[in-house]
This record gives sequence, structure tokens and C-alpha cells, in this order.
Amino acid sequence: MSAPGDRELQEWIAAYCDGRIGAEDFSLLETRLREDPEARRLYRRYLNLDAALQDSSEDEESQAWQSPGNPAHDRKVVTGPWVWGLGTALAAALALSLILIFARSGAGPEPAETMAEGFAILTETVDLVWGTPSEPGAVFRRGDTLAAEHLRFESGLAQIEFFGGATVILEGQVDFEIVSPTEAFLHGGRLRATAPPAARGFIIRTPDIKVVDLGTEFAIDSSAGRSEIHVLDGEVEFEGADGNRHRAVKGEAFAYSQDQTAPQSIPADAGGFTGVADLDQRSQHSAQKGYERWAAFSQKRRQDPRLITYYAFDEPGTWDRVLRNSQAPRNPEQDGAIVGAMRFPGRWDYPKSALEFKRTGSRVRVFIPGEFTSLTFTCWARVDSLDRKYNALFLADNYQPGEPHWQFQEDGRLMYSMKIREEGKMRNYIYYTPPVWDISLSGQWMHLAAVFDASTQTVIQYVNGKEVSRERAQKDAEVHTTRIGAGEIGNWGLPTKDDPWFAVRNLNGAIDEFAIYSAALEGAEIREIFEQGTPY
Amino acid sequence: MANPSSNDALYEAFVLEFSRAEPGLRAFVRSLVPTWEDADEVVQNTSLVLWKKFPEFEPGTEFGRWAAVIARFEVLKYRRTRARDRHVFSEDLVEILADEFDEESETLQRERNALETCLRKLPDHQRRLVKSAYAPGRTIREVAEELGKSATAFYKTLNRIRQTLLDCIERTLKEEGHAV
Repeated sequence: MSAPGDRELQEWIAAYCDGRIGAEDFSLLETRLREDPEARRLYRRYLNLDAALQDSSEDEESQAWQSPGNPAHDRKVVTGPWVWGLGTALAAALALSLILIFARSGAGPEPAETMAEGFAILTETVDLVWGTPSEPGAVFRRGDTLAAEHLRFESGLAQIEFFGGATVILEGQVDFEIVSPTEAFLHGGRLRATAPPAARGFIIRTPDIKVVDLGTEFAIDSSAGRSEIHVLDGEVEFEGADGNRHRAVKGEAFAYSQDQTAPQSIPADAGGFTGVADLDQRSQHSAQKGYERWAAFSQKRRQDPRLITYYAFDEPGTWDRVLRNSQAPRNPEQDGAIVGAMRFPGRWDYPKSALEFKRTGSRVRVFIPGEFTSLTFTCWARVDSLDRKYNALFLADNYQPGEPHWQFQEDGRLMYSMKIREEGKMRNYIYYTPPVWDISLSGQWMHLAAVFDASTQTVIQYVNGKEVSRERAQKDAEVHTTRIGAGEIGNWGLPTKDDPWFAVRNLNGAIDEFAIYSAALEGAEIREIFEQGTPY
Repeated sequence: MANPSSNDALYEAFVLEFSRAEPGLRAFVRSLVPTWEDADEVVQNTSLVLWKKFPEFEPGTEFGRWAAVIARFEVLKYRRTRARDRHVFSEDLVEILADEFDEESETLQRERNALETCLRKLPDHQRRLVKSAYAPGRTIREVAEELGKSATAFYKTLNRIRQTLLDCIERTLKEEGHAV
């Protein structure tokens, strides 16, 4: 039934139908349609099918959306009492057009754009000791976004990058308040600020002075009713309580107190304040210590006889497509195969690596034979965003009775689930945590653990060493034998030759260190794994 | 006829007629304008005109035919505003296409009705793919990306499935004894 040229014509029609036809093909199609009735027939049937497919998907949609008041659902019936109440032709026509608009757009209003709150980012911390809890002031981690926060810490260093472009390094003990993307208040302590030309106008106040940056680098030391300003580069403008403005340039320093009417010139002290380079060095030193602490702990952990498998993610090199099982003695049978996932620095720089699962097909395939009772899963994960309905941590391929699935739902809840058999039928039994992730945690490392205690038929889940949920299985959902078999870290399911489609569950983020135990670990053990492995 | 503002029954009658005629009307308009966006806008304009003119409609005559006349007028009006910036067929071709669609409207309706049967005959993964391509509120590009396919590859597959459906629809109508 296909005459020569038909294939070409079909391709033009398809491209036109999908709105992707080029100008040249469009004019060829138009000419052909004008001249050839058979071409028009083909065109008509194709577009008619397009309309039918569109309608059929909407019918389904309206059946799926049974929520009352959803206009798409009411499309075929169209009239609600609210229409009758209006009573005028205009209102009726308006109502009708609204119904049509809603019906076309599918499910109603567009979802809201993702929003996050903040003025600055805590980009680096070194040996930071936060203030005593009795003092108001929040505790943050490296990478956190900071809104109008009041930060107090006893010792250590913190680097804060303001959205306005200025960077501030704080030295403990310090009491610092973020006011806006371009302004902060130093209640007490020492800081060094860099404001490149793009960040000109950055303001820091102390109880004694207001300093306006004019494209420069400066330091402030504020304590005991006195503030010192040291200009390290460029120029600043400052203003005392008396309202008089002064300017200072590189190499100048002034002291100011509330009872002084004029600033007092003092020797400049450029070396006394920690700069970006010192901070970097100290942070590397601190990271090295963190890595060594983890490495020592990890060596002990490898010998735990309760381990079923353990991936420490510490292979040298970024090219290796094998994820080594780190158990001691070594068991290469349970090495993982890395597919599509890319190696990046993990919680610390190389050799500590992590795997990113950003590509749709990326995964680590593992095979873990045997039957178990209790299970514990632990991993470090960095979630960049929860793009999918389900976002994989670890999923068994077949999902047969007793096989576990561990993943994030798109709303930020962790879900640990097992397939159970009930009266001969298979059923999915899911244990949820409350939401533990939102966009403000994007890019942060977090330690996750899920424990299935077969003796009490309880699932306990942990985030950063803290229990976040505990749930006992219902009587009919008890599981006494667990299995893993073939499974995947970071994704789910091998497509088959006949059915190349797969559910998209890859984690938009990374995993660093992953372990499964054939026992229910105690809360204290989970906490220790977190504490010995935290990069913060 | 009575003033529609005082006559709820008239509105009810209109809604009934309109919802019956709507699938045919949408298919008709779709075949005359470049995109669904255009089609939706024209159908919406048409529905408002139909409601305004509904008192002139003679009960007992075919609402769908009457609606098609008005829709054709709305399409021509719409294409004049868009003709310059997009792939819009010339006015004479639109007229020919509209006439022929009108002549064949019964066959085309039967073809639309046969779709559900043919969709059921598709292999699962093809049915899933075609459903996701037509899921409301999503572009093909988004769907393709989610499935990890290039848009080009996705369109190619989609076109193949549509051809399969057209063949199936043709066979179904023949089996029912309708010449296609």
C-alpha cells in the first residue's frame, strides 16, 4: 500500500503534526496536499488519529483525577451548581471557557516554582565550635544556605559568601548576624572581608561603626566597646556613631569607640587576620584529618562479620569501572559493576571518591547471594534534587517476597519497602520516614540508614545518626526470610531485549560508601558510623 | 428563543450538544491549524460564538454540522492573524481540507472510535510510550528526555506507532464492513 514517495510524505505529515517541520519540507508538503487527493486523505487520517489520541489521554486523565472540584474530571458533565448560581449569559460563557481551558491544560494550575530562602552560603568551615546551646543562634554545616541568621561560635574559622558578591572570613570567637545579601552586623569578634568591584557597597556594621566597602579588602576587630578597621587593599568609607564619615585607604587603620568623637589612627595589622589562602590551607589540613579518622574507622569496619557487603569507595584512580567490595577478607564475588555513573571526589578529595548517578541509565550492579533475616543498610548520599517520583538508593531487581527496596520519594520522604506475600498475592509493604530532604539540603552529604529487625518485625530509619522513624510491621506483613540477589545502587531494573523501556529512578546526586549487614545494628552503632564518617 | 440569561434550560441544552460535538469539532479544527495550541484557541473561540448564537440554532438539525461551519470561519479568522509567522496552510488549501473533512466526517468518527480497540492491541511498552507522548501538560521533548532518548529518536518511534495504529484502524473498519 505504500507508493513511492509515500514514506517521505508520511514523514512530512508526522513532522508537521508534531510541530517540527522545516520550512522547505513544509512548502513541499503544502504543494503535495494541494495537488494530490490521496495525500490529503493520508494527512486527514493522520491528524484525525492525533486528535483521537489526544482525547483518549484526556479521558484517562479525567478518570484518574477523581478529586472533587477538578474541572478536568467534570468536563463531560460540565455543569456544577456554581454555574447555575451565576445565571447570566456572560457568566455562563465565561464558565464554559474556563472549563475548556482547564480541560485542555490537564490537571489544573501549574506547579509552583521551586523556591529557597537565603542571602549567603557557608562555603568553608575549619574546626568550628558553635556557641553553647543556651545562646540563641543556629548551627549550620558547610554548604548550607544562610538567610538572616545569627551565628555564634567559640572557635574555628568560617567562610561565608554573600549572594551580593562579598566574601567574609570569621574567626572565633565571633557573634555575627547576616542582614541581607549585601549587609551584615558584627556584634563582636574578628573578620576579614573581600568585596570585588562587583560587590562594591557591601556594608558591615558593628556597635561602633558602619563600614561601606568601595571595592577592596578590609578587616574588622570588634570587642569591648571598640572597633578597629584595617584596610588591606583599596578603599573603604566608615562612619561612627557621631555620623561623621571618613575614608581610609590601603595600609591605614583606625580605632573607633562609641565615646570617641574622632577615629584614632593605629598601626595596620595585615597579617593578623586569616585570609583566603590561610583558610584553604587550614581547611585542607582539617579535611586530611577527617579523612584519616574515617579511613582508620573503615579499616575496623571491614572486618565486621555481620557485613554482607561493604563498598568503601576508596579505589585509587577514576577510571576503574569496578566498585570493589572492601570486606576483609576480600570477597571479589561481590564487587559491583559501574555503569554510566561517574566518579567524583567524595566527602573528602581523592582517593575518597563518590559515584554520581546523574545519567538516566547510570547504576552500580551487584549480586548478593544468600538468605538472611535482619538487614541493615547504611550509606552516605548527596542528593542534588529529587527529580523522579522514586529516586533510588538500593533496589533489588526482581522485587520478590523478602527483597528490599530503599529509595527517596519525590516529596523528600525515605521509603524502605519489602514485597510480601499475602493470601497467595504479592503486595508492596512500605515504611516511610517523615520528609527528611528538601531543596535547602541540595548538595549536602547526609548519612542514611535503614534497619529491618526481623526479631521484632520493626523497621527503624536514621538520618545523620538520628532515628527519624520506627514502625512495626502489621501482623499480615511480617517477613522472616530476606534476600537480595541481583540489585542496583542508584537505579532500578534491567530492561530486557524485548522491552527496552525501564522506569527512570536514577538518583540525581551521588553515593559515597555503602554497606549491607545481615543484622539489625543498634542506634549507637549507626551514630558511630555517622560520627566517624562525617565530613562536616 | 428566550434570552439565554433567563433560561438555564437553554444552557443545559447547549452544554449537552456541545459536549457531544466536541471530539469531532476538535479533530476538524486540528486538521486545519498547525498545533494543538492553535486548535485549542480556535475551539475555545468557536465555543463562545456557538453559545452566543445558540438561540439561532434550530433544534432537530445537526449541531455538529452547524458548529463546523462556525469553526471553519474561526479557523480562517485565526489563520489570518498567524499566517505570517508560522507554517500555516494557505487559505485555499484550508478550504479544500475543510470541505473534504466535512464530507468524510462519519468515516473519521468511526476511525476515532476504533482507536481504543487498537490501543489495546499494542504491545505494553508501545502503549506506554504513546500515552506518555500525549500526557497532558508535557512536551514530547520532556518525555523523551525522561526516557533517556533523543527527541529525534522518540519522534521516529512515535510515528511508527501511529502508522501501526492507522493500519489497525483501517483493518478494524474493514472488518466492520465499512469501506475506508
